Amino acid sequence: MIFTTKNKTTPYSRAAGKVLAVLFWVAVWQILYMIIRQEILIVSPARVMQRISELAVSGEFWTSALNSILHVLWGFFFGVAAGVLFAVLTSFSKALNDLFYPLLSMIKATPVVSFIILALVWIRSDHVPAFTAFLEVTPIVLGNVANGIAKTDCGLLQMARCYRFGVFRTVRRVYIPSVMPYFTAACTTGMGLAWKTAIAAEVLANTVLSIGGHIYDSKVYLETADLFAWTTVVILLSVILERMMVSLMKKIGKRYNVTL
Amino acid sequence: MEIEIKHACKRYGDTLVLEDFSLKLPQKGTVCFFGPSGCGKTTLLNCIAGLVKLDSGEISGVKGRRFSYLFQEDRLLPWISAQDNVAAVLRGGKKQTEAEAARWLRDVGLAGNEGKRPEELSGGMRQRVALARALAYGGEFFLLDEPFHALDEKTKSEVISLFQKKTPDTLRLFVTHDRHEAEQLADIIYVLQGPPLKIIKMITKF
Repeated sequence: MIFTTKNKTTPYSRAAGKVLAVLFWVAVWQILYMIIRQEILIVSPARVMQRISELAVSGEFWTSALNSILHVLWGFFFGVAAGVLFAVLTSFSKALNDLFYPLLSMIKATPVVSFIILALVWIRSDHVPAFTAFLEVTPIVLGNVANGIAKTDCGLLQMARCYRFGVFRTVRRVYIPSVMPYFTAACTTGMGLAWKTAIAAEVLANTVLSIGGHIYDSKVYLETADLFAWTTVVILLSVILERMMVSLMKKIGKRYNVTL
Repeated sequence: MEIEIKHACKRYGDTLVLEDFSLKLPQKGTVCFFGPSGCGKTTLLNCIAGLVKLDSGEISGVKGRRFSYLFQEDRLLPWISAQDNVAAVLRGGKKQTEAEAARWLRDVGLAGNEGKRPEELSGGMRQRVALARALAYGGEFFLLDEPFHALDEKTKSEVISLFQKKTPDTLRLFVTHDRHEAEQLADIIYVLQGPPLKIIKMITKF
């Protein structure tokens, strides 16, 4: 016998709700386009899709997308690694915490374009996007992970000490599960930030064969359709990469018995 | 080796919890610290466990010795099962530690709950998991901070007799503010007051 449930949040209805929300905003976009009717200011959703499909048949499109993904991933991974490393160092040494505090505050407060322009002076321009993404991701991960370490239950740490867990077991059984939710939140924020930063750096550095490079060109030639198309590509890639990362995090969480 | 507390001083902010506190403990048996909440009993246990550092004075006979601490709260790892919580304090292969943990859980009357996480257990059951963990770890002495307060009378007396059976010839330092518990369990009762912590009476059974 089949029972109908009154619970409306089945996976299907939730997915349908999400699709409807996206369609709603595309409709808003379409209406705005119909009111303004100037291709140089706003492009229709249909035109953007058409432009993307035109671009997607060229090899250059895929190389550019891949290059940008690589910029983002390099910056992201080194940022996460450095963030975790510094979080551990500064959490367990007050001297190091005091030493790095001003540097981190400085990095957080500096406008990202200043770093991009400085980095252009310092290093090869095709390394600038990953480098600046790295600079932006590091403090986010550091802050969140350090906060997670600080919020680890003292009672559990005392327990681990009494029962002589040792460093390895304390980290594995107490710290990692406690910090995991903070780390995941940091990675999600960091991934979005890495995209924004890397693309901004690509535009300013005008790196060849990258999404940012194409956005730069669209600005120079006032190709609003291209700007919309490449921006849409960035959004899609960013969402896909974030989803992949979240599911990876869930797998890692499971290993440490944490439901994320 | 006997545990001896010599001229211990400990201050928290404006409160002097231990002031020139000295006490020599026997090698084995159940010693009960009986006193009102907040008199400094828990601080005393934490000092003996080495979790809290004394401002001055010393505690001898503890260093390097293995002991179990049964805390007032269960302090179980919330992300793993009851069995894994007990196995976490054991050394050895996964199969062996799991089997041993399951045995201890059965002894405290929790057979069938091995796979449950702390959040799926009642307060009393969690206390018993914590007890199983302490027994599994073992040691030369035991520190117990009102560990049975969440248990009903029947379970309490079962658990207490099991605990005494499983830890013969050890020293058990036991904090409570339950007179009945103190009288039932202890060989020596120190009646305490504070802060600062003071022994106002010592009752020896036998």
